[in-house]
This record gives sequence, C-alpha cells and structure tokens, in this order.
Amino acid sequence: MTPLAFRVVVDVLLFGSVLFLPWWIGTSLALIFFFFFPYFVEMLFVSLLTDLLYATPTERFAGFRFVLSLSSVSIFVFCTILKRHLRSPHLV
Amino acid sequence: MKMNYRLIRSSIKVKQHFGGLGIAFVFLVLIVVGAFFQLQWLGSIGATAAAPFWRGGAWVAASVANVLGFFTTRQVLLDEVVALRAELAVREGERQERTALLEENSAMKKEMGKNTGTSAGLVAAILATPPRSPYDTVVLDAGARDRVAVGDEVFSESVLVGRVSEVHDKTSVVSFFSSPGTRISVTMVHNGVGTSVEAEGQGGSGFIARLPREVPLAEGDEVHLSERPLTPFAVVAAITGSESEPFRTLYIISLAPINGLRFLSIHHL
Repeated sequence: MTPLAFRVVVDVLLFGSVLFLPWWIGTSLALIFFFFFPYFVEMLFVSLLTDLLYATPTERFAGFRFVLSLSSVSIFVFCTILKRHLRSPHLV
Repeated sequence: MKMNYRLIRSSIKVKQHFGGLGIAFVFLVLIVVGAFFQLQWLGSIGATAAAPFWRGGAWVAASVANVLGFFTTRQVLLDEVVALRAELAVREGERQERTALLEENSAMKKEMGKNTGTSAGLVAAILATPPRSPYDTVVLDAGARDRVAVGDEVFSESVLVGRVSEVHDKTSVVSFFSSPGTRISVTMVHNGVGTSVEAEGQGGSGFIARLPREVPLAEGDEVHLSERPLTPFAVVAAITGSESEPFRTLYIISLAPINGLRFLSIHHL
C-alpha cells in the first residue's frame, strides 16, 4: 500500500470514528498518526467536525463552543515543534 | 560525499515547519470567526453529511442484531420469553401506577390553572449519544424542517431531560440538564417538605448539590425541577459528608438515564 493510500484509509477511519466511536478514540488516533504523516491537518478537521456536530455553547466554557478545536490547534502547534526536535527515522 | 547526520536546519525543513504552523494559524482564525459569527451553516453542512451515515449505522446495528437473533437456540428463546413475561408484569403494574399518578397530576394542574401539557410532542430518534459527543449532548433525527426550535423542551417519557440548543435542517442537538457545568434550580422533597437548592450537572444523568447538615434529607428522596414542581425529575442517590462538616454533598441521578435511550420527544414551547 502506498503512503498516500494508507493516509486515505486512515482519514476514512478517523472521520468514521467521529460518527460512531467515543470522541477520545478519534482524537487519540489523530494524535498518534500526527507523528507518522507530514502536515497531518486531518487532526484539526476531526476536532472541528466533532465540535460542529456535537458542541453547544455552555456556561462552563463561557459560551465558547470550539473547545476541542482550540485544544487541537494548541496540541498541533506543540507537536509540530516537538517533531522538529525528534530524530527517529520513522517520523516525517 | 555521503553524510551520516541529518540536516535538521535545511531550508526544506524550515519551510515544512512554518507550513505546519501556518495551517494551524489559518485554522485558529477560522475558529475565532466561527465563535464570533456563529457559523450555523457550517454545522448544518456537517450534520446533513453525517445524518445518512448515522441512519445507516443504526440500520446495520439492527440488522446484525436480527441475524444474531436468528441463530439463538430454542432454550434461549424460551428463557427469554419467561424473563420478558415477568418484566411485562412488572411494567404493567408500573404503567397502571403511572396512569393514576398522571391523572392526579393533571387534575391538580387544572385546579392550579396551569397548562396540562399533555400534548404528544414530536418523537425523534436519537442519532448519536455520549460518549461519541464530548459535550454530553445528543443528536436527534428532527430539525428545522420538523419545526424544532432552539429552547424546545425535550422529554424522555414524562421526564424533562433537557432543551434543544442547536437546530440544523434535518437534525438538532439537545443539551441535557445534567451536562457538566450546567446549573439548575431544583427542589428536594423529604416527607412532603420541599427545599430549594442549585444543582450542578456532572454528565451521565448525574447532578451534585450541597446543603446544610440541618436540612432533613434521605437517600431516595424525590427531586423536582423548580420550574415544574409537580413532576418528579430525579432522586437523591447518595449523601456524603462527615458529622464535623457543616454541609452535605448530595449525588442526584435523573429518572431518565441517558444510556440506552433510543427516542426522545420534543415539545414546542
């Protein structure tokens, strides 16, 4: 399987997990695959889709509804910087 | 000449890193815009695209259950019939008791000059429940096309469980009163005496409240929503707190647990 085909399969699984599996499975898988693919922006889109489908403005977050998306952006930036300092040949 | 170390500061790498951070920045702008301008249409597109998959998933789950049921043995079926008959007898007793209570409740409301609220409402199938949702919300198979509006009351049988908080074209999102951080005013009833208190949702149909030790309460006491004082809403499941503490912590559980729900009814205000 080519890397591109593998990535497409992973994307389908990730977006399927948003619809059918507990939210933390999808976000955890996205975080894991972030270290195996370059520019793994699917991680951000999975969080955005979760927020668009399930989130509502709540008192707990002062009416802000994109909590998971904002967390994902923070993690994405952190992991991007972290990847820069990792030297494993399997990471891209 | 072959090098045995990685060029981590090459121009290609720098471009890659800034590329990744640039994408994150664009995404951050999108989130901020979405938060301030309430991009309803984006949510509607997502919900419209997801609804067929949810319905398909429910259909597949039902089909698999049917196929598995086909292969059960005769003895298993007989045992199931016996168990179901026993459960039916219990449910019949509960139904009769509930009918009597509803009649009494309706008569009391009429005496007090209030709306009886016996309209059937719109019954909607649940497409997605926690823990798929990280926000303790459910997605219903009814939306603006079915005249569902934000703020509509949502019932599980006769128990008010929450309100519609987002409406898309064909689906809607319901926030439960028990969603984490949600505060509601409730009345605890102990031996016919009511005590009002603010309860905070903990998720999973649970609430938490704190009351002074002097207030008489016991496990199993009924809890009513203050806005609907005649209808039971939850029960006190547990009370904690040592003798030396001035307050006791109450763990309240809704009469309509979220787990296992398949349908909810929406009542337009």
